[in-house]
Amino acid sequence: MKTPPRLEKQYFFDDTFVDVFLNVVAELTTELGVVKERLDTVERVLDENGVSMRDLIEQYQPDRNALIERTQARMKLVQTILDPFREHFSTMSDKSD
Amino acid sequence: MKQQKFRFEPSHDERARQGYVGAIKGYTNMVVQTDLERTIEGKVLPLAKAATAKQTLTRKDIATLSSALPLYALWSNLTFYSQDMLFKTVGDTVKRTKKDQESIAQTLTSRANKKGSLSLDEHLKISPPISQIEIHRMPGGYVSETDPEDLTAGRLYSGTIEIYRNAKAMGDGSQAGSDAIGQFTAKTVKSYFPELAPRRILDLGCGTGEQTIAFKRAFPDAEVHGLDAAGPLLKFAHAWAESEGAPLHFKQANAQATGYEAGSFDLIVSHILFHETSRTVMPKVMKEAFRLLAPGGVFLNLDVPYQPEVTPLPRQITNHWQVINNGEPFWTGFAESKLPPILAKAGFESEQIFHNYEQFGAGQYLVFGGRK
Repeated sequence: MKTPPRLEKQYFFDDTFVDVFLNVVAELTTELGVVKERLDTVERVLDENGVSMRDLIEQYQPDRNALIERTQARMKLVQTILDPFREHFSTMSDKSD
Repeated sequence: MKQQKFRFEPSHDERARQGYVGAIKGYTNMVVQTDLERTIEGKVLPLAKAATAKQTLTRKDIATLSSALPLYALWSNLTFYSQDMLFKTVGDTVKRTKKDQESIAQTLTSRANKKGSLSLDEHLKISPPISQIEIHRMPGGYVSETDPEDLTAGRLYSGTIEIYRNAKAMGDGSQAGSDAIGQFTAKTVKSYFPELAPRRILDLGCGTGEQTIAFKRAFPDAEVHGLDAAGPLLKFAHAWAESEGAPLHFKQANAQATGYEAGSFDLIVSHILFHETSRTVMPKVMKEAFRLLAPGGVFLNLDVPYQPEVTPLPRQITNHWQVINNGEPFWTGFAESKLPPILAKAGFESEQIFHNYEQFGAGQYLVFGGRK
């Protein structure tokens, strides 16, 4: 059976960018929730198995390598999330009079 | 009992959040700003040149045209909001650990056998801009406190400055409380003047004092002093130095009229001080520094490298934004000042004056001053 056609993406604000922006916020909220819940699971599982993970996390001191890797990972995530905005406005700027 | 350390102690999540705010600031400064400056260079400058008969366009002309770019709005939004995020997240740490840290500071600074000293002048008239605006938009500014033990201003400054510096490519990846900039200045002093053996050193506008410690470490035989107008920052500096075991002497006074004896210092340094002074105040501070130096003494300052002759026009535009939107009233005025003539007027002989750019971490700093 043929799949029914999907309604194309709808924009509800006069400035369509606001729609895009709110979509990104919704996606981010969801993904953040997933990470928080996974971490909560890790802590609870370890607690149930006799490892007080919350204390160990607070005491953890990253070594130089970990610091460098984290700096790179942060930059990568920030760039992944924010670069669509930069690309959008960069294109608009190049087109503007 | 082991003495507890006075320090910046973010929790795991606060540290992670601060790391991400730093990443957002770094992305904004490096990726978005680079794209914006490319657009100004490639689009605004040619349009403006075509539209005007004027031979040279002023920074103001270009700024007005650039501010219409959607990319300029994005960059402004990110720069402005990330500064709020920075103070909010560091503020969380400062608030959460306030009681413990202020109690440690109190213990350290009220010990009978403490190594250094703090001299406050509660009647000191604080001149603008620090009395009137929040420099760098730091909530509460540099001179407010809720009670005499309140160290919030110093702790907030100390907790944010390295994140800010690193995200501006003006740092070396150091964490809060680092004396890396002071070490760099001390190293620069030693490379410019290898034979200098200072007996008394003054760090002008020392603020929270982390960099002042570097001079005691670099010149262990010297007596090291720090001066600032902001009492709350000096209270932090005193506690920090005691915690680090450094015998430093801090004094609250105006850098234009320090109250020290003439000829009483062999080395006077400052770090990112002069871009916070007006064109009226700057010559007075330099004159006072000259008065304080002993013959052969050295005055060496580290500051932002944004002078127009070394800064492309698009970068001057993004820099000037800081004046309007980031509590940097004198930044542009400083950058446009010709420093060697001001130093000469303060008393330094022209062949003893220096004005160079030196590499630090991923960036560079302006190093200027003179020898008496």
